Amino acid sequence: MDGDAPPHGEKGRSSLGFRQLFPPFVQRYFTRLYCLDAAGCPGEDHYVLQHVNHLLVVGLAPSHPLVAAQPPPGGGQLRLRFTEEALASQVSGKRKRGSLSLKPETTICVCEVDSPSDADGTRHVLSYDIRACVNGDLVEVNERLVDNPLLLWDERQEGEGWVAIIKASQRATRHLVTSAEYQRRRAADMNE
Amino acid sequence: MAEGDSSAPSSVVTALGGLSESFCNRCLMRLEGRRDTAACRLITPLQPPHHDDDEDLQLPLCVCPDDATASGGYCGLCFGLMHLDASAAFQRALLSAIRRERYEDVHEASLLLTLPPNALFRQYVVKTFLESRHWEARRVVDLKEAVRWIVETTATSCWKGAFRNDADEGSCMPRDGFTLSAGGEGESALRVSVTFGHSGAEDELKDHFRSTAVGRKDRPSSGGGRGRGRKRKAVIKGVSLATLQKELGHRSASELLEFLGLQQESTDGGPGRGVEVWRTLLARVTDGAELAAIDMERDSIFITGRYLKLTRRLSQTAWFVEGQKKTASSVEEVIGLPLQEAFRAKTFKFHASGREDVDVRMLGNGRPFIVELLNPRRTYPPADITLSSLEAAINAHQVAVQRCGGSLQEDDDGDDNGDDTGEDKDAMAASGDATADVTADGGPSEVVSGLVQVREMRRADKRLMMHMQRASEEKQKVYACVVWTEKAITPTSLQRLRDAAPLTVQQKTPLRVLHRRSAAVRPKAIHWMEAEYINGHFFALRVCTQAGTYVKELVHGDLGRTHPSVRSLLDSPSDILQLDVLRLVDDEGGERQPGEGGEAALED
Ligand SMILES: [Zn+2]
Ligand SMILES: [Zn+2]
Repeated sequence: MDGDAPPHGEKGRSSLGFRQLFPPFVQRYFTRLYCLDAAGCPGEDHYVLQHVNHLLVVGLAPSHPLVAAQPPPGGGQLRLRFTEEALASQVSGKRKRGSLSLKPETTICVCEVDSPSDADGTRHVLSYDIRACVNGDLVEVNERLVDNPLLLWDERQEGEGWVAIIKASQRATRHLVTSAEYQRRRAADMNE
Repeated sequence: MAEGDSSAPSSVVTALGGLSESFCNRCLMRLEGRRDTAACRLITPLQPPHHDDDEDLQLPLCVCPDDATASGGYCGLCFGLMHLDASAAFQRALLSAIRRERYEDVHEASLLLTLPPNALFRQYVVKTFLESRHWEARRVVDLKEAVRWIVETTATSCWKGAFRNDADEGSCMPRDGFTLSAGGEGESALRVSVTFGHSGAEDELKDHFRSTAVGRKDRPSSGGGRGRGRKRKAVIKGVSLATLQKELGHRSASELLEFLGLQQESTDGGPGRGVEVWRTLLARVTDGAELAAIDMERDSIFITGRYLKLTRRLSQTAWFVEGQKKTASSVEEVIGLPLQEAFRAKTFKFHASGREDVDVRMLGNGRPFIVELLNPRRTYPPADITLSSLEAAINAHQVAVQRCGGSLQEDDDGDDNGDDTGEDKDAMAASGDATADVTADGGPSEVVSGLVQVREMRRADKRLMMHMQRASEEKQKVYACVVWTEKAITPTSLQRLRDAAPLTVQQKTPLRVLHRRSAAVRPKAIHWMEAEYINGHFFALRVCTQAGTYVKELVHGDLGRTHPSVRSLLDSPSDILQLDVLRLVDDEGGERQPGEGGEAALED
């Protein structure tokens, strides 16, 4: 019973009380920032978690059209691949290659999902680029997403659906918006 | 002496021809191969120490009574270094260095002597010249050997006189048999470095050597440099003793001159003309050698022990940001500073067998450490300071801790996990006398005594430190923590954790340290896990891991970067509270199961 309660649901009272005293580690260690309309694509919001050590963790915000929709049944129609440059800059074994320099619009991975059939039976493929959002150096990508892209829909606070870890200067996050600003802007959009 | 005479000359002065005018008598004796100084004895006795502000070393010109050619500058071979014993300034500099450092328990010291590089260069030149005049150069007493002898003699007598009429004579007076020598290897060996320079060294060497290979291209070696009046500089990479030896050591006189780009004007113009080029190379110098530095350093002393950390508000090491200390105190300071003071060390380094985070207590049998005391001025503290009295002082030390907890939790007052270890209860009780205070950096902190406990302190040597660092990789560690889960748990569901071990987890370098540690995936063995149900969302976890496992990440999964984790095994977001290190399983301990007995730290 308690087990199915959402983290902040009515039934999870004991966990809610505890969480007020002791926030989850994502909140303890990170500042939650958002990149709205990444690379100018309307609605393609990303989250950027800024660790106290200034490393950034980038993933898809709940308002992003890919994850705002229900995940495709079975996940079979979902294809996710990282760009070759992103994979090449990964640390492999003890050998560390030069890390990839990122611009805000750099694509780190591409996610393709089959849309439902139109009335005439034709199917479309929706393709989304998941982007760096900031200037910086790529540290790591979440390779677990390749086998399990449904992690992208993991909305739990300590979600494992992040896409990339980026090393960036503090200035690199200036254009991002705060969590409060994100809530305000996206709530306003929904009311329109 | 006639050219072509194959018989060896009877004296070095004969062999040198007119060149001898450039050298002092003592150097002539060196070249002659005589090791005594009877013919060139001191005319200036050792001076009593002065307290002049002027510490510049002004070497006397040659002071030998029979040295008639001392005018016109300093000796072209030693630049006056052979007369160091007559220099009051050199004695003053030595005395001042000895008094400043105030070393105790000095029996012997070793001398590291550095001479001006152009003096070494000239030694090669004069030896090569002598060989060409059929004088056996291997008879020559090396300049460094001769200067070493003079410095050793002078320094030894200075040392003996340094603390005469001094209140601290008892502690600092060298014992009988003190010597400064080339040897002096030992646990408390003192190394004295004396460095001499010369104002003309750089110009002189630059004049003869080029440090780059560009010259080769400019002037092709095939005959290009042989033209009269064209001076081809030798190509040499840097100028060090080793370089000089390599480049000059085995050349004959004509080869040397060719290497240096100095052609002998004529081979048949008589001996006088042949000497001129050598006279230029070995001419007297206007400035004498200078004393560049006197440094003293003693080998480190090592003290080992084990420590317990009974607080979640003290880090193991001091934390600096841009040179500013951000922590009021740390385990290393609580332990190291009293030792540094007792041995009058210049500084100390704290090495521990692994480390725990600021908010993690170190309980049980404690964590091994070694304090390396660098450049200790004292090797045996006075009788009233013993290692056990230092231990007692450290254990009673008032520690400034952060008022607020570190990252893991906010408040740990009154928390003692009940079942941890009986042996630490007394120590915990001692933490009751907390008084509020504000540290120098303005951060809130309070002062509590007894938060760091040390035991088994003893002296060790460097090899033990190496051993400890290697051994820490092989150890197992037992941790205790409280885990929160988002999904409700039952005593039965916790069985999953027990059954999962032993297992190997793949642990990526945790995000929280990824900015300063290299990225890697490390397999870590989890030997056993014991979970004790507390209530629907909390349980107590005891886990035995391979050394180097990050336990916080093992619990919450670090965004899936440690896998499997408690989070993935229970399929629920999980978080960790109140982490303690219960026991380091030392080399002698094999793998142990919980409840096997003998694991006192795990029993109620
Ligand atoms: Zn002399
Ligand atoms: Zn000389």
